[in-house]
Amino acid sequence: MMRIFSCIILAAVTLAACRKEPDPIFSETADQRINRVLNEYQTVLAASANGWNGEMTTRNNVTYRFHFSFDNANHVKMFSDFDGTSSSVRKESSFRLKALQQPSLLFDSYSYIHILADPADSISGGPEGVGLNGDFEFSMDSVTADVIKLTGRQQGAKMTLRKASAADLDAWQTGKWAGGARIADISKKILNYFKRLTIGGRQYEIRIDPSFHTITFTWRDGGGNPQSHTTDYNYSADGLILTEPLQDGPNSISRLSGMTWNGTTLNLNVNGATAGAISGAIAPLVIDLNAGIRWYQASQQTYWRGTSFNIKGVWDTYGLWKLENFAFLIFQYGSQYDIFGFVFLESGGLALNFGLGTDTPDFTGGKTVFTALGELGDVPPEAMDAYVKTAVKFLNPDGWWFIQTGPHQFDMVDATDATSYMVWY
Amino acid sequence: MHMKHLTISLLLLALFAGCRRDDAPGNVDNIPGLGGDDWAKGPVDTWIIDSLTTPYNMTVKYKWEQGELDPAKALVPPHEAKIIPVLSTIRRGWIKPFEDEMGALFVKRFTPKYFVLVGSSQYNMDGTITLGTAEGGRTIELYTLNDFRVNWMPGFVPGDSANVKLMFHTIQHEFGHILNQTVAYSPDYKRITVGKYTANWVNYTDDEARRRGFISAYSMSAPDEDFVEIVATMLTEGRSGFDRIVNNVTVAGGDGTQPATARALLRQKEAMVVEYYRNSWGVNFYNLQSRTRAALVALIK
Repeated sequence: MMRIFSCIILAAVTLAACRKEPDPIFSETADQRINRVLNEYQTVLAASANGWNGEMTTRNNVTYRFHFSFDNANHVKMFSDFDGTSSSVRKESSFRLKALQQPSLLFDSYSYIHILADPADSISGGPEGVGLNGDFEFSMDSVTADVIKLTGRQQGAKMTLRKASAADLDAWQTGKWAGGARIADISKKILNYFKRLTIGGRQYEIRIDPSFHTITFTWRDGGGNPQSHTTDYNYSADGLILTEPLQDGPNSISRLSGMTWNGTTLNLNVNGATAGAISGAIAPLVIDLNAGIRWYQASQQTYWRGTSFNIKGVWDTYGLWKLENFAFLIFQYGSQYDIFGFVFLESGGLALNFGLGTDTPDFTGGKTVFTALGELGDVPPEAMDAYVKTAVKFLNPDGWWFIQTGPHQFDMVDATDATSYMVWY
Repeated sequence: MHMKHLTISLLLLALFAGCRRDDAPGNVDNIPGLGGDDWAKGPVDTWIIDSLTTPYNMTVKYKWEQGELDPAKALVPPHEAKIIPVLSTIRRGWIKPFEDEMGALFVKRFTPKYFVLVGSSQYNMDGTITLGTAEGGRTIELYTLNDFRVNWMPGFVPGDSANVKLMFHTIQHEFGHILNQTVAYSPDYKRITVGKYTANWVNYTDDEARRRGFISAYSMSAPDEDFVEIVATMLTEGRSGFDRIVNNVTVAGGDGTQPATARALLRQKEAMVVEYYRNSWGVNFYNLQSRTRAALVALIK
């Protein structure tokens, strides 16, 4: 009896398990819901008459600002604070909304937002092959009529879009943002390596990395002691704001605004009040007397690798990088003579076939002067021109300033008028 | 015993009943993305349909599509303004010469059907950059489009021609693969430089490869690559350009190959390529070569 009973129960359970009427939790299917959501998001994006203020924080934790205007035909108009052009010339490209596991926003043809993800170092200023770790493909985390939160699908950059007012859009269109981003173009306008900010009687040397939004100030305080301050900065609609203000005794700098070019100088306001100006200088404000010696001593441990020369803002003026299989320049200490060599890729390895033998440099007054002892190896005819120009430049009789920019990195800047330099790493 | 039979019968009945499938599929949803992406069509889309899809059954993915590319690499989409110049260059420099020499049917049957365009180069771990790849004889991925310029575009400098040449080299290389996968080339080819193919090709320069009887470093990787590298070099450099490359081999290779031997090996490969095109496709390769070279020169000089 028990057995029959259990058989009946088993059969009942088996049959009941085969009920085919769906009993969904949602009233619509997944596809219906995703289509509805994508349409809703499209409506929200296009509904803002003055577009959206975008703020992207990349994986490097650097924040860049944008303005987007989306339309209903998959096109978007864009500004960005990356440089003078991107902040003043509105660029149109395409976007689309797509279901990629989550509703996603794709900027699917090139515009300013892609500069942050571009692997070419000449475009982004970030490391070659990596860029600035920005994103242009985002999953949409939350969407309201006023705020949209996005997360980058590849690098995990965070972007927030806030509904823009007419004044916000105006600030971009009338070039106010371009005013602040002008500082990103400073190296194209002021061709001297050294840039000096003068406020009243005080002088600060500034070094800006516009790609990563960092600025370094070097100066002498009231007692004549060298000081240095490095901070991140962000652009605002009228200039740039330092994340950590500079403190120099009673003076402080927290904001630079109202920038205008005057041919050779960039005039600006400090903290919105005091007038200041940035202009080029031919020598460092604070001379690091031992920098050249430190660099030279390091060459006794291992060789330095050098880029080509940057002259008046143009990399590789002498065409070394165009030589087939050129790898890099080297400098290495030797007991008889030092070598300033030209390294090429050859048959599966690096080869040093020619270069310049130099004497122990002269380090007087913080300048490093190299003297030739002779030519080493045979220079092939196709490399002769680039070799001669590079070697002559290296033997600059006025010498070089060495500026330490990292634990194992120096910039070598000419002491004639500071318009050419090379990076040793 | 009886009971067991009953149990089994009941179970079978339940199972069969559970497997009845004569219901109609009912309403099928509008699945997003099914049948490809959708966007408001613009002039670029119209151009592609009129100039490539209708005549040659080719299509082009010019909008960003991560799924087509290496997810671990930093890559960006191309500028919209670059699309038509690049595609019209491909049409003039690659499709047209083949169509003129071998007929429209040949082009429709054998050309790769799907192009994916990328704005930047792909930077690889070994320090090289990728400018083009191909998959399965169907897809060709072209990189570095944002630097693309031919002579009628503003800002063209002679240095840009290297990019254009590389792009055509890539396309000819991949198209060569499709042809020799359709009709195999003579196995004698593989015996010309037998035993000298190496996975270590990346460590050789093109010059060194030529001194050993290969047209480029990549052609040292395998006989198939060797064959299509000869094809691609001949078609992009032209007859005199190819002769110049061969005649410039004047130094012995690192493996002891004498210059005269290396030149003879390259000439032997050239002859087999020409013979393959004549026997397998009924085409005079030198005529095709002068057409492709002329089309390329018109774009870069």
